[in-house]
Amino acid sequence: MKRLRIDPIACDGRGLCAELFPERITLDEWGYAIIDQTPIPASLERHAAKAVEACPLLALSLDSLAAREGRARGPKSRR
Amino acid sequence: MILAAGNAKELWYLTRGTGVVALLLLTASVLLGVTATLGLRLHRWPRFAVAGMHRNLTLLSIAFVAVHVVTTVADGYAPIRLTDAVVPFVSAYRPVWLGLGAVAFDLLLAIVVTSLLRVRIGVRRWRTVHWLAYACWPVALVHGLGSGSDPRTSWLAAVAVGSVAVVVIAVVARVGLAAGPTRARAAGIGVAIVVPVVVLGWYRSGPLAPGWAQRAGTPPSLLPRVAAPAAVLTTAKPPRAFSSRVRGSVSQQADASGLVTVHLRLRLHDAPHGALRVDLRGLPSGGGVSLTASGVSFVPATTAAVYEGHVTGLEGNTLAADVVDAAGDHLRLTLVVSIDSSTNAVVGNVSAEVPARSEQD
Amino acid sequence: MSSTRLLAGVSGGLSPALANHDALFGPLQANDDLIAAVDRAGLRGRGGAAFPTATKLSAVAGAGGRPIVVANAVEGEPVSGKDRALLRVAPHLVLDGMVAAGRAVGAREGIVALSRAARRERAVVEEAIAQRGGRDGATRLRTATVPDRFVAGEETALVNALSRRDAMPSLKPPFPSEQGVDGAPTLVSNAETLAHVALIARYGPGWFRDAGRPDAPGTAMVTLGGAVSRPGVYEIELGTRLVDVVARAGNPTKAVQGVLVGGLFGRWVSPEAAAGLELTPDVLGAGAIVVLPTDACAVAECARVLSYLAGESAGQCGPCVHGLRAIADVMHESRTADRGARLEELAAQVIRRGACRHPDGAVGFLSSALDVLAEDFALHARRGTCGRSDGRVLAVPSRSRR
Repeated sequence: MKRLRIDPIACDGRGLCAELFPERITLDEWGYAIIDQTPIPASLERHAAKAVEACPLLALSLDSLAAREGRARGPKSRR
Repeated sequence: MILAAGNAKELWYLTRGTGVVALLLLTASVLLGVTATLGLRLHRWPRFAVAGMHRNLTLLSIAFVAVHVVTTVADGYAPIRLTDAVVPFVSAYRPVWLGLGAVAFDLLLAIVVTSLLRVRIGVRRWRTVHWLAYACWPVALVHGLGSGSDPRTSWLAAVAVGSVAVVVIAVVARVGLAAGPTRARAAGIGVAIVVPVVVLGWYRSGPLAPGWAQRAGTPPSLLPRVAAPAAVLTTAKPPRAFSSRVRGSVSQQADASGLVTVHLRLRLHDAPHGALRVDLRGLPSGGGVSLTASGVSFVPATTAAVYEGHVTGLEGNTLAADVVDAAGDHLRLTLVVSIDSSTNAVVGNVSAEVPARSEQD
Repeated sequence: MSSTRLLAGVSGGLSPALANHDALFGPLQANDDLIAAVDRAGLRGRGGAAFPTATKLSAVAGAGGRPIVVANAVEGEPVSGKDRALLRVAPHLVLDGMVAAGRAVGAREGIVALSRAARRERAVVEEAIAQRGGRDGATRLRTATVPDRFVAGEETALVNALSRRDAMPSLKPPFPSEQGVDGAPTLVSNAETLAHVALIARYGPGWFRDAGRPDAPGTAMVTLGGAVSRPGVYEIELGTRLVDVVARAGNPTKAVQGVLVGGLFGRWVSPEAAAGLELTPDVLGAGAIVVLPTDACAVAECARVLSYLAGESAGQCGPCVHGLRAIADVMHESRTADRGARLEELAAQVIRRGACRHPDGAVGFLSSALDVLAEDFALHARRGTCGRSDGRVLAVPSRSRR
């Protein structure tokens, strides 16, 4: 199963993604995308792909759950 | 302009029509694209629909450009080849102005291809190419104004000025409301105002001024000349035998001394077309006139010549006249008319033959 | 005291010269398996995230290429001063740590990263580097400065600055250990952490574990501020109780309203909880502790801190920019009204929505303040004032310096 990932630096609050995939994407009060990290069933993958493709900033990506997650981020910043 | 074989006119209309429509579609697409980042909502349409509209308008515009290119090439009037549509500035017909069309088309293809492959090439590269849209649109407009054969048509000029106005407003709004350094934005607004002013200035002194077709690089053989009919007509032979229906009007005056003057003004309905005037003066006798003087002039449509002469016989509704032109070509005309005395309308028939040399004066 | 390790030179009143360093700590020998030693020692990063240092060393060592070592002494946080203090008094420990870690991961270049304002520390470090002459073999050491911004100390922002880009965070992954300065695998380690590495390399993991607790070994440096009679930088054994640490700084000078543990990205602790709280790496963060007395206006102090944090946002992510600004504005409104519900609503929209942990840290500070300092918030909500003013106990500017 796949999961949506967002690059918060790229996201500019255009909002096309939430229109196309409301099952996993909502907008905060400033218009930026809030991504639900629940895995996406195969039946919804088409819509997820449309949302990914529609973003004018290409801020979204679809990752398979088996993909390398990297080290878990600590609770605090590393300084 | 209006020359050559029969269906050339349809092809020319198609070329012009598809060109104008393509430009209008591009204008609409540019408007949607420029205002996308402003977050304006188009009548409650979802944003992905506006984005889809922007894309489809551009694709439709390309379809119209394709037809525009094909009809231009198929219309053998001007020497334009298919390659001139993508390779700029090498055509035999108005190379600069037609070439700009090729430039616009190339830019458009680059923009569309990168957009279709956006996910593969990444946002930065896509955005760099997409900015060429700001160049593509004015280039397409100048191509249309510069290579079209009727730039002075008023609705075309209105479309051009209107399109420029809406695009400039949209761009100024977009740049003005954007974030970013003030200097860059001021420069952007400056460019958005200066470029259209330059284009419209060029439009006035170029396509709208007389003699543009020649200055633009139209091949000489295609240039319409002012005396175009004469150019064709000097090679045409003087009419010899013909018969044509005529139609016109009659007027009649009487003066103090009792002399009556009758004026017939007729047009030939069939070849060689033209105008026929008959003036009769005389004393009324019976229902007609007993001639004391007459004058006849015949100007056929196919030559520049004017045939002049006088009436040689008048009997009932039939009138005979001998006329000759400045070159010495004689014609013997026979005119049969019927006059509606209530409306003064005249219908009839004129036939002509070239009298034998021995019969000519 | 077994807690005086890094600061051993200070208590002896010695200057940071190389000769003193050698006399005090002995030579730094080549260490065949430093990473294993650091692993057994259980050293965790002292920059705030408390990440296991051995794990990071292994990641860089295994990444291939030509790694670089960066000692992070940027210390963008206004209430923390330990890294700069360490560089002033024991620069050679940090440099030794960089060299030792560098050898373990295959690096030949070490950079000491400082903020532009830390001119004195930079001079000391450069002098120390010059003193070392050729003792570090092929390893080249140098200093570098980054802008005086809060986020400039975040590891990806630091890597970006050292790569001559803007000092702004990037999305992780990729991590600096795979792709860092100019694309090379980079070990970004807090300066204090590297100083501990230098001592582990000499004395071994067993010695390191002699101090602290089994689950929190070693010592750590802390910056104590606020209502204590001797504010400053101290070295403590991990696991020490907060109340004992504060006592070393001369005990609170007044009654305590709350204690901020872990700096601006830490948590507020109530005086009752402070008594039994043991300072472990997770709790300590970057080691800044501020004691807030009861005669300070907690709401005003927190509002000022949140305004500062909002202004220090890198400005890359919408939720951080808008959310922190909204939180700061609502915090100022909290002086006269109960805005707790709105603050929670904002916090929920901001947490984990940025490329870095800046918004999360701010929200953590805010949530613990609403909880621990609730009494002052309630006073303001009910009466519009608590009768006290902003005493600037938290030494944080009202606006960011930008």
